Amino acid sequence: MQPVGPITTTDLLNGLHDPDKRSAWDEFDRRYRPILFAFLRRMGLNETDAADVAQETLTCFVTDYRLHKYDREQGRLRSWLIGIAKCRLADLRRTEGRRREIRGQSAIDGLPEVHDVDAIWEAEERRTIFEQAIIELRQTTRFNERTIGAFERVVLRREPIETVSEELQLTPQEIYNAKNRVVQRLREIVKRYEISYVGG
Amino acid sequence: MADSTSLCPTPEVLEGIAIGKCGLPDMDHHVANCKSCREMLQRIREDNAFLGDFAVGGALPIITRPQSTHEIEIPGYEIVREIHRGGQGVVYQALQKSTKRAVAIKVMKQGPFATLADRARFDREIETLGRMNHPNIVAVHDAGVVTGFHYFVMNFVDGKTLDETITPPNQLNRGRIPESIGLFIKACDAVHAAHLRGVIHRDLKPSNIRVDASGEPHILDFGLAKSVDAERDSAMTQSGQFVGSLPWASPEQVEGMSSRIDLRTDVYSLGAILFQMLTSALPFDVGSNLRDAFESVLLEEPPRPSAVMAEAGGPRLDDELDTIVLKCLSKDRDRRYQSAAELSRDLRRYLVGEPIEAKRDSALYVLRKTMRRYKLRVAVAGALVVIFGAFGVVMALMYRHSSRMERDAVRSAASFSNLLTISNIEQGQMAAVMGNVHQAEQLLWTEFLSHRDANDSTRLQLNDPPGSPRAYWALLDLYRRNPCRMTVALAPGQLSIATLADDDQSLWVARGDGLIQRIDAAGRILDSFRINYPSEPGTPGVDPTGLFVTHQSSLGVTVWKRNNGDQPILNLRAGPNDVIGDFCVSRSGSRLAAIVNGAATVWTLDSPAVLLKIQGTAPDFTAIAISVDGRLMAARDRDGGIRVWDVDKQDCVVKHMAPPARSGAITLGELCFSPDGSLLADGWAESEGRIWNLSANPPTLTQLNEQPGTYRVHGFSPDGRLLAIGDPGGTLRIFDAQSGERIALRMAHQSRLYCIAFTRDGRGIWTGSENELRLWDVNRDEGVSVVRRDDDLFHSADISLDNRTMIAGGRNGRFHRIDCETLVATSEPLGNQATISSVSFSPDGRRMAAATYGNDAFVWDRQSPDAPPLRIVHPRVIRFACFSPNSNRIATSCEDAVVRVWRCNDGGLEMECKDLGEPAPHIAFDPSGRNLAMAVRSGALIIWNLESRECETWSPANRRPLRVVRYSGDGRWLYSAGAGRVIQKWDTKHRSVNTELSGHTQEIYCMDISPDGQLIASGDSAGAILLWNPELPRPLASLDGHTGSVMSLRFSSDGRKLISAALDGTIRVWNLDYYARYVRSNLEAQLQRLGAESLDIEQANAWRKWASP
Repeated sequence: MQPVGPITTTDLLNGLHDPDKRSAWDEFDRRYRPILFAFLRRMGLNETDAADVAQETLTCFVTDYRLHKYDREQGRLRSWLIGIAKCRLADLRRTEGRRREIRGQSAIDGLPEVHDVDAIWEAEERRTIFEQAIIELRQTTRFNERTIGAFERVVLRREPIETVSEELQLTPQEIYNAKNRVVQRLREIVKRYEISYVGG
Repeated sequence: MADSTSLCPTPEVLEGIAIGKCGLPDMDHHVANCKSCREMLQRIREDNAFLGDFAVGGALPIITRPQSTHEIEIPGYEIVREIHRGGQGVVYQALQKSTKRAVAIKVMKQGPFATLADRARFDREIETLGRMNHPNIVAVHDAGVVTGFHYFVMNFVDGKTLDETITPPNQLNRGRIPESIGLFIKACDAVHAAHLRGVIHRDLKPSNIRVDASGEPHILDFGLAKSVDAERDSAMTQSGQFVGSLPWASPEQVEGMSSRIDLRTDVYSLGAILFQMLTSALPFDVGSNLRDAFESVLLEEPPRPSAVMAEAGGPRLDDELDTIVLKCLSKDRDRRYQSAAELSRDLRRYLVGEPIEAKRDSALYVLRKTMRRYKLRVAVAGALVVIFGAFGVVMALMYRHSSRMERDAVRSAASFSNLLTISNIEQGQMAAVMGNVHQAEQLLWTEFLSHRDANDSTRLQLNDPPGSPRAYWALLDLYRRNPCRMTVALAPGQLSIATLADDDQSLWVARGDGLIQRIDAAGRILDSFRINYPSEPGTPGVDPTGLFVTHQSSLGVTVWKRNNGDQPILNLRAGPNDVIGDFCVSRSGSRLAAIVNGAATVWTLDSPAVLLKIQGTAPDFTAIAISVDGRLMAARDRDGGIRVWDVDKQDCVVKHMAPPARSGAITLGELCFSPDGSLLADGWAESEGRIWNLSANPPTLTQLNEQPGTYRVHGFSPDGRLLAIGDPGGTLRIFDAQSGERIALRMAHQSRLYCIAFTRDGRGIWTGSENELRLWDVNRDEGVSVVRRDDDLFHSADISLDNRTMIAGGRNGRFHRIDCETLVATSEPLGNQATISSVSFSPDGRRMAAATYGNDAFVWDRQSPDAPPLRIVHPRVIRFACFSPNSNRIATSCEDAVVRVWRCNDGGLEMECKDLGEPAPHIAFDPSGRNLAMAVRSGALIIWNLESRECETWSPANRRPLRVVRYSGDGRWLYSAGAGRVIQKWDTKHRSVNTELSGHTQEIYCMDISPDGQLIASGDSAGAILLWNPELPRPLASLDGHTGSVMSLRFSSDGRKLISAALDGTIRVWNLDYYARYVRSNLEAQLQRLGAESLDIEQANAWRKWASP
């Protein structure tokens, strides 16, 4: 994975207008598909449906966008995407509902109504940023395997420091030093992501 | 400070402090006073806050590494092993649990993180494979998603990939090549099947072809496949993006020109695969950096596979294979095979030894390249000429020396140019044999018109062209094989469509820019006018009367009437969602049929009005035709169903006829009525062409026995017995309309054939491509008269001095007299009806003789036609008999090994030669009549001096049984031939072999020398006849047609005809002059092609003068 550079959302959106600029579309897709997917999973969809709705949402967005239906002045990109996703979700629920009715079940059973979609989106966005930052860290870092491993086990998985120390043959001191260095790097990456996702 | 530093807590402690775990007071104190610890603690807190910000429910998300496809479990299947890991996906061998069947599962590598494009491609592959139903393309059983990983299940092909089966050249046995080609042909067919279903693979390479245990190839990996329907694809393959695998990728792929990717892209890759299968090497070196690799693919000419093979120490590869591979690898898509089916067809032809259709690259190009290669040498030679020429002037003293050097320089340049000439002519001859008219013409005409043989003395009296006789005869041979009566060059860059004018002598030609011309069979313009065509590109058209002019474009059809101003009389615009399918003008010129707005409609053009309108229902009409008399109209729908209406009666005469259903076929090609309207040729579908017989009820169907190409044009002969079909490759095929059998095939043009018209007598056929019109003989043997006697096998024939009568004899002992004009034979039994071994006219024409195996020779005096022949009895079988030059004597060669000379007037024995020791199969007088040459089976020539009665034996170094011997007209040379398959030219003065002429592949049985001594004809046991110039070691031309041993050859007294008698029961009279006319009538088009660059006006006019009758 290439580090997300200084391509801001504005840059990306401008790039989407040019059908020949494939990289913009790829980047946009890479950036928002995981958020959409996770968001939709949180909305109660199974994996297949979530992937399908995410797909439809992205396609629909790009089509609309190229037709100049989306105006940044009128709202954030997030809201626009959520709007499309909600429509698609509603479609899906209707079909799902009909199927359920046929089977004599409640139309809304099993698909929780979620009110604070913005919050969910935000959480998923943060999660995605973090996730992608971790992935990038793993792929682009200058740290050795043990340093990263120690960080992941101690910080992310909250494994007891003694166990990690023993298994990785690192002193607790070395582990904490590792944590410090890794977090410092991670913060740099996240900052870049935040600018590109939220700002710009 | 030093103290406090030493007391600094470990990071572990600081971490504890940061989360408020540790509470040692002195530690707090230390931290409060130690700057570095403070800063450290601060950072830890910030880090923790940062991390906490991402925590969900108090814990940080566990970011698992992207799940490896290794860990994937697909319900219902048990993964056995990984087979292949590609850019897109991983392929596993797996077991279907329910059936215990081995399957292959392709899993998309990126799983849930796949981008839209990846997923779309993956889905496309599933969809594509789902559409295929071909034994050599893997079938898809199942598809799904598991934990975000998309996958599909296909047949498992247990075997090796093609690249694993390729054998290095030095271990390759030549016998295995056909086997490899057979395998490759199957792969081609599978690719073609995909094309027919609208799918271009785009990533064909050996690793995507798996060969199963039984040797069947299977095409895999349609992941990059593109739909022929490019619109759907635009998002997936943007311009400028290289898609494919480099060593097998075509130039258009490398350039990223996705719009130019079509079927022929796969043809290129197939060519690269074939290259690799044959040679183990790739056409281009792509091992270096990417830029160089791209450059190679885009700019470099691939090497000839045979050369690569030879270098690698492999077996010899045929030139045809080179041609086929190089045609696939052409940079220009138009020069490649136009489909995988064409490629496989040509390979099949190659395998069975038929001439292949591949057209070699432009001859001029080859010539130019060769010239470039030798440029240095030519330049040096040229420079020497100049330098030494100057020396000669300036330094008189050195004059002699310099002029000698100048001569040497000129000679070396001449010998080089001569070499080049010979090589070009031989290439041209080969192209002619292969039926590649265009290439042969380019090579041979260029040589003929712009080059002179180094040996300018070798003039041929026959037609005496001012150019190279080799090239001239090669051209004659070309037009004998491919009888193109004439070529009319058309304006470049303009599509011209020709229609046979209603006088049946001339042609109306409508040009894309609106110029309408009537031209005669000599290419002269008889009439001309102009129509103001619309600006959009379209197909021009003109009716046989030259009165109505049409223009068909995507917008519709417009019709004008001559002398009616620029205003069209009919303007048929297509509706927004409609296409003008097809249109045609009936030969009576008054009616036009077209599909407009879905309706098959017929108009009368005299005062434009609709005569018949049939509104189509689904499926739509796609093709329409009107009969020559304008009475019948036929329309075909998208599914291939045809209906026929009587226009005047407004009646549907054939309700519906359709070929056996074939799903997914492409509906292409026109309909065409035979002149009497009883037959309808149907160009439907990519498969076989067919002819409907409308006179039967219901109509019957004749399938053509060979598949013509797509986008066909049709033409029936005036009697409706022949159907000619032209294809996009420029090939003309002529079929028997009754049996559907193909009776002729010509590579008529270099590019797509647009129009076909038979001449009124049905013996000629016009074909037109974008840049030329050609008139052909329908029958290849127009210049040959054939006398066929099924009850006889001919041993000998001769023609009288006045060219009026032929005589012949053979196996059944009958003496035939044949009228040269009518070819009617009168036959009489001779003696005891034993085989007649030889017949001949006396040189003065007064007598004729026949020698038989019945021990008798007969001599007739033609001045007393009713008198019985003189009978000369021999003790044994007579092998051969010939007249003396003064016609007074006849010599016979008898089985008793004695050659006798008899008086013709009374049959008295004059002398005999008993020194032979063995019978002589052939004997010949020298022109003085003083010597008699005798050829014997032991390989020696025995020369019997009739004056001294002495014999002399000439023994060639390589003694092979001799069969035939002949003197040149001046007696200077003696030619002998036989089992050695070469003609030896003896110098009679020095009694030594001067030249050997080689070209026959079988034992030479007979030979004759033309009266002017410039042409030798020889025939062999395989039925081949070769023509030679005595000065040139290679044959000038060959005459094919006999299917049995050629036993005797005689030139007519004027040298313009050659009579051959053969054991196939035929005598052929080759009219050598006939094809000479074709050389002349094609001259003008070739002068135009060469242009002023090669020939100045003076030269060109000299040629025109030569060609004028």
